[in-house]
Amino acid sequence: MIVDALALIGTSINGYRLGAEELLASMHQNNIDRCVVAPVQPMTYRLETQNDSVAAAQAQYPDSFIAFCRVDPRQGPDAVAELRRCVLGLGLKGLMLHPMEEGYAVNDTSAVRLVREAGALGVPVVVAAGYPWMAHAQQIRFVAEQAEETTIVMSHGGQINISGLAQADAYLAMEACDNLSVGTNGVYRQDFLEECVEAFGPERILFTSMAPVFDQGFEIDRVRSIKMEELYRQLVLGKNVLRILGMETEGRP
Amino acid sequence: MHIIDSHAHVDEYEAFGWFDPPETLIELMDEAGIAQAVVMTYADAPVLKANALQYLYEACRRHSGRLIPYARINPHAGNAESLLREAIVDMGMKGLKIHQESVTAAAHHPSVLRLVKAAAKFSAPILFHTGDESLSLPQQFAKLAQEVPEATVILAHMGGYHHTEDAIGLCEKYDNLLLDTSACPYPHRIAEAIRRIGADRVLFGSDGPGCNPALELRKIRRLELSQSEEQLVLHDNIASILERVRNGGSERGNR
Repeated sequence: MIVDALALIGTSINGYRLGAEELLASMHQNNIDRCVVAPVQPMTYRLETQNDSVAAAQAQYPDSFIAFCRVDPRQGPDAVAELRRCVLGLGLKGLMLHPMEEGYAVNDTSAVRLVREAGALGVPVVVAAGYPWMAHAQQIRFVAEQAEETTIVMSHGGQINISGLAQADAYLAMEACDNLSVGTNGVYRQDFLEECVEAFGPERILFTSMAPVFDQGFEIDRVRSIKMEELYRQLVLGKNVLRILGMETEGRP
Repeated sequence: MHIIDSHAHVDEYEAFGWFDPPETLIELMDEAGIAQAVVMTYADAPVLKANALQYLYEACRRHSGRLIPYARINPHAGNAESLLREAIVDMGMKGLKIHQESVTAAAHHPSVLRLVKAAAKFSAPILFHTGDESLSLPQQFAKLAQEVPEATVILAHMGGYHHTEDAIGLCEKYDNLLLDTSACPYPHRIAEAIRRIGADRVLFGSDGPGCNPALELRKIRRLELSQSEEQLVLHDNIASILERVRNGGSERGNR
């Protein structure tokens, strides 16, 4: 089973859009069985309505979509309340943070509080990671240390640096915190992912496309180009995220 | 098709933690069906690695016909121009690589401009890193493009993750700028670049072996280019650039 651990649906204020049906067509074309869907930042700035939308998409396509909410931690108690509404009320399965698009540092006190609350609710957090100032791997390492009960996935391999000079930061963060994993979308140098598999095991690497910002088909090609055992690839391509979500009990082969 | 990868690396450089002898790249080239690759070191001569040019020369000599060297030189070095001359005339190297982050100079820095002008006298291409880092932004190339119009300047990575539009836009404005596709994470932006600036100014590059050459090649093949466009991107563009380099009767050239 192939599961994309992150795609964004809706019309973003940042100029990209992806409809649920478009995503389903892309999944079908690329033989992807299920997909984690999170909201975009809409023109209205209101994430709550987007959370309602992904909940509706999950209800409409329960065999295809696994919905995560998106919350702005700067809203303080209201942010915690929105997370609880989404998880306990709407049945969403995780939290997605996008510090760059919302405009906060991931290690702000309010964000740490929200990540800890996600852990208390038993749901994972995906961070749009790698953005210097906002979501650098070492800032996320700080959060992971403050929220040891929370499973955190860093998109972009925890780095957005096409020199490769942020790889050491992502690697050190992974080394320091067992509750951190990396998503594969857009990762510069596939040998970084190979090193992560070797150093930390395949369980902490997840296929993420982050469509439509990245091309879902090309991103699955990226995972297929990683040099590793095929049984490990099955973990990366879907079993890991299902295990994190408590939807499958299969562990390492 | 005889495919030439216009951007790859051979080096064993502990400070960056990357150990990629030429055999690593050759194996991946064979897997991908790539005939030749333009290669450079990770470290800049002479500051980060005193013998970088000699290392590259020897690596390419061992794989003559497969690997084509570009000299990676720190433009701040007092002997940068003489090193470039030695690399092109004596060692038969075919171009210059400047990585602004490792040499701490943006493309508009006077020492960069000076070295670019020196390379242009040999009609040697200059491959620059571009991306999202503060010394690698595409808009920083406007002054260079204006001041050295005779130089063939290749912008690697098409501006990285968040400066793709700047890279394409700058190429629209300045004819002496070209793009390489290496590590660009957006296939559709490569197709857009070909549409906007022409297939004759977009070069296939892998940035291998760290970036998997087969994956980088699949990225181009996903675009479903016409046969003539693919021929340009995968071979003809870089081949014609390399043919124009004047080595001055190199005795040790890697042809």
